[in-house]
Amino acid sequence: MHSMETRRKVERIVVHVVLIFFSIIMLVPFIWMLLTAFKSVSEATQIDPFVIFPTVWTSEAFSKVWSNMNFLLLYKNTLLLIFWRVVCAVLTATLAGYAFGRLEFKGKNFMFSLVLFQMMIPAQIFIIPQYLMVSKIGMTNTIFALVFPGIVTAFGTFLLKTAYMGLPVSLEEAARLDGCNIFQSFLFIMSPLTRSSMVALGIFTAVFAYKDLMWPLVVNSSANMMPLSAALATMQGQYQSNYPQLMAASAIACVPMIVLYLLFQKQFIEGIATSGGKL
Amino acid sequence: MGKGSKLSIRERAGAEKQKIQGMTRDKAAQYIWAYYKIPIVGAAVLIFLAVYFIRAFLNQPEDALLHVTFVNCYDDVSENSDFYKDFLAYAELEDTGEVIFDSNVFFDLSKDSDYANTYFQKTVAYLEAGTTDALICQETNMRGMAKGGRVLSLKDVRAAEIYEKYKDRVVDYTTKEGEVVPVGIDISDSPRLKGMKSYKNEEGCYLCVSAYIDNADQVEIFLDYLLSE
Amino acid sequence: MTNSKSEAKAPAKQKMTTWEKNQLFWGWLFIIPTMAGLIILNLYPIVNTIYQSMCKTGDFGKGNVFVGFANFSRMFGDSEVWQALINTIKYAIIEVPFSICFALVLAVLLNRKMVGRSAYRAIFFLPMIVAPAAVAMVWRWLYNSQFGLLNNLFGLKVEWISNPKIAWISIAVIGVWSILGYNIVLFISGLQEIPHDYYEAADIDGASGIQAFFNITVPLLSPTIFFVLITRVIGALQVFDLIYMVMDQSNKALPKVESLVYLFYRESFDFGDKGYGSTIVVLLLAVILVVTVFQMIGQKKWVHYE
Repeated sequence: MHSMETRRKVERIVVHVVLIFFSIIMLVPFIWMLLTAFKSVSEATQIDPFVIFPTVWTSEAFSKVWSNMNFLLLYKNTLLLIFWRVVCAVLTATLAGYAFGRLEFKGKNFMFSLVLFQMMIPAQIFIIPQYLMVSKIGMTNTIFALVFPGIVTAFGTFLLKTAYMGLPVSLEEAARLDGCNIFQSFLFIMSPLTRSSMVALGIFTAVFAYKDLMWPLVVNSSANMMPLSAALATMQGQYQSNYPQLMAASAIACVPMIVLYLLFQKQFIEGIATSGGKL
Repeated sequence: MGKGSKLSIRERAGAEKQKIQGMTRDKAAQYIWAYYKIPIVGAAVLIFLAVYFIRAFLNQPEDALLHVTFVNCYDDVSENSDFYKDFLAYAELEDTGEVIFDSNVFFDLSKDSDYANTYFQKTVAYLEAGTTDALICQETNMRGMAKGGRVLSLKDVRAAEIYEKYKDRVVDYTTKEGEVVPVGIDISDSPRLKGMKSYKNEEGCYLCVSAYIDNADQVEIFLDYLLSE
Repeated sequence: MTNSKSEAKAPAKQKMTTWEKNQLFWGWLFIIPTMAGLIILNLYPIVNTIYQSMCKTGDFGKGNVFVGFANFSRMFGDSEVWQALINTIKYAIIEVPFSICFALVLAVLLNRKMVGRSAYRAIFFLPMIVAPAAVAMVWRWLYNSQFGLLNNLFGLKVEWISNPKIAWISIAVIGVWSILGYNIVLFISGLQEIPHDYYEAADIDGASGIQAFFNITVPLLSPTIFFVLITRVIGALQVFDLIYMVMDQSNKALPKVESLVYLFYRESFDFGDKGYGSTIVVLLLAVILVVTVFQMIGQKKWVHYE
């Protein structure tokens, strides 16, 4: 019994050491971003000798960026973009994932291989044709244009299909005996059990929507319809090597994502509560 | 069989109704939300999308007459600028959004950089989609665009009038195969660009026509404007 | 539409057909939004790419000319394309296994009840939202041969990203680093679906954490691992941004690092030769297709659904 206790303790310490080690590696760019934001322009680009900590901490970059850019409008556009992409992606992927994962019907395998096939094409070839579609229907410079390529997701469909395939057959049989049709058993029995996968897809969609630069830049050239990423790039274009300002802007841009993550982290972990008792 | 299922759905609906009627308003709202949030959200999304599309189609903007991309331009050429208004006056156009000057493009084809790469792709997309009609850029970028063959050879019939009018300003590009192609018009001394900070260094300033253009009449008017006092 | 109560009363054979009809109806209804979206968004670009791969792109407004398989025969004789294919595969061989193994271990650790779990999870999430420009800057600095942190810290004189022999490894390390957070999110979500009872039983049997990891976690998580494997292999074979952001065009190690998508980008965008660029995409597509089909066949051996 005693040895078991010591073993547990050692295990715990090892776990923390490993996690702290990786945390530091993962955090370097983030810390770097913050440190650069507080430097002067010359210090930020100096490499010999290299300056890690700013000699004088100045928040000038932050105040300049904050007064130059309309962050409230940018936050609004970005949040709208994220919201619609997440809603559309999770909704369509959940439906399709359930059909691919739980139902047997003619044409299923062919359709699923089409889904996989889309993932194999490098994203660069889609931009010009998709831009053509949006501009042909005269929808450039709208929120719809921003959301457009993210309405459906091959990745999410595959992810949800995997999640549904992992659920036991017995659950659905019980539901069917209780008189549920397929839609009801999907809605009330099965879909709540894949909540953690939905949240994972939500996180992915949100992060990609937030980071996507190419597409917003192409479809929404009007300044008041840009999301954060495109506005940051415009700023980078205009003040080419002002790294402190660029990093300060990136740091301010991270805030809504961090808030969203903290809000949804609880959901993510609590997936356990609903799906834990499935046996 | 169909009858049985209909009945059971109706029964279920009845039972639900009774259940909800037996609750307080708060409880009922909570209950409905807990059990029916996905169909509610789905229906709301569908309705919103339908309304959105109908509105967007009704307010569809006209196709632009002239779209010019200003590469690495740090001056204001937007609708509020004098440069823009002067051109409208010169071309005798109304201010109805038919002319677009896009200066949100920054790249240097002699250097790599992640953002510049994105802007370059944007420009290529605008050219290939036929959105933009002409580019205003400096020498390195003009040669870079010519390397990709995305600017019109001024000997093409579509640019015949421009070529005739501004023969002495034409700039050639020599391809890898040794073919000499006229690709740009030198506008470094344009009186209209004089007041700007951009395009002032030794790289000069050039106008290139998109290789994907249907008709270069508007570009010609723009060029006349640039080179007129 | 029928429900199963009435089905239960029907004869066995007819019950099957109604059930099948039901599945057919709901199955297609459920996949229609996704399939319609994917076809509208992606079908035309794909068909167009395949068509373009058989065209010679006309420069300066001359228009395209259909040339059949000329681009393909040019590609088969192009050693740069084959070198890029080897580079791409080498990159994937490092990125995929390491990013999956590290992420799996970290996800399992992050899933334990312990002090600071939320903080750790937040920390592993942060790199995903940092501006790409900051990421590229930091790595360029870390790898800088004169002033970089790595060389200064260990007193080395290594040219991390300009020595052709090691540059591809340095790039793959950045790849592992940048994909780790995403994989962790997927694995954590998969772990939520493993019942605690299993671990409690293992604990009573006195199994160590490592035994539990290999005997319970890995088999039960195998569907998620399979998903991550398929998507990561596809993603790794499409590597581009990373190379573009960290390597200069003048970097002498570039020929040993550039990937197929990098070549495609250079041909299609810089050189404006969409035809040849599309041919490279078709080659990449063929490679990914073969690898994925083999994985799909191989999954039956190690992936367990309930």
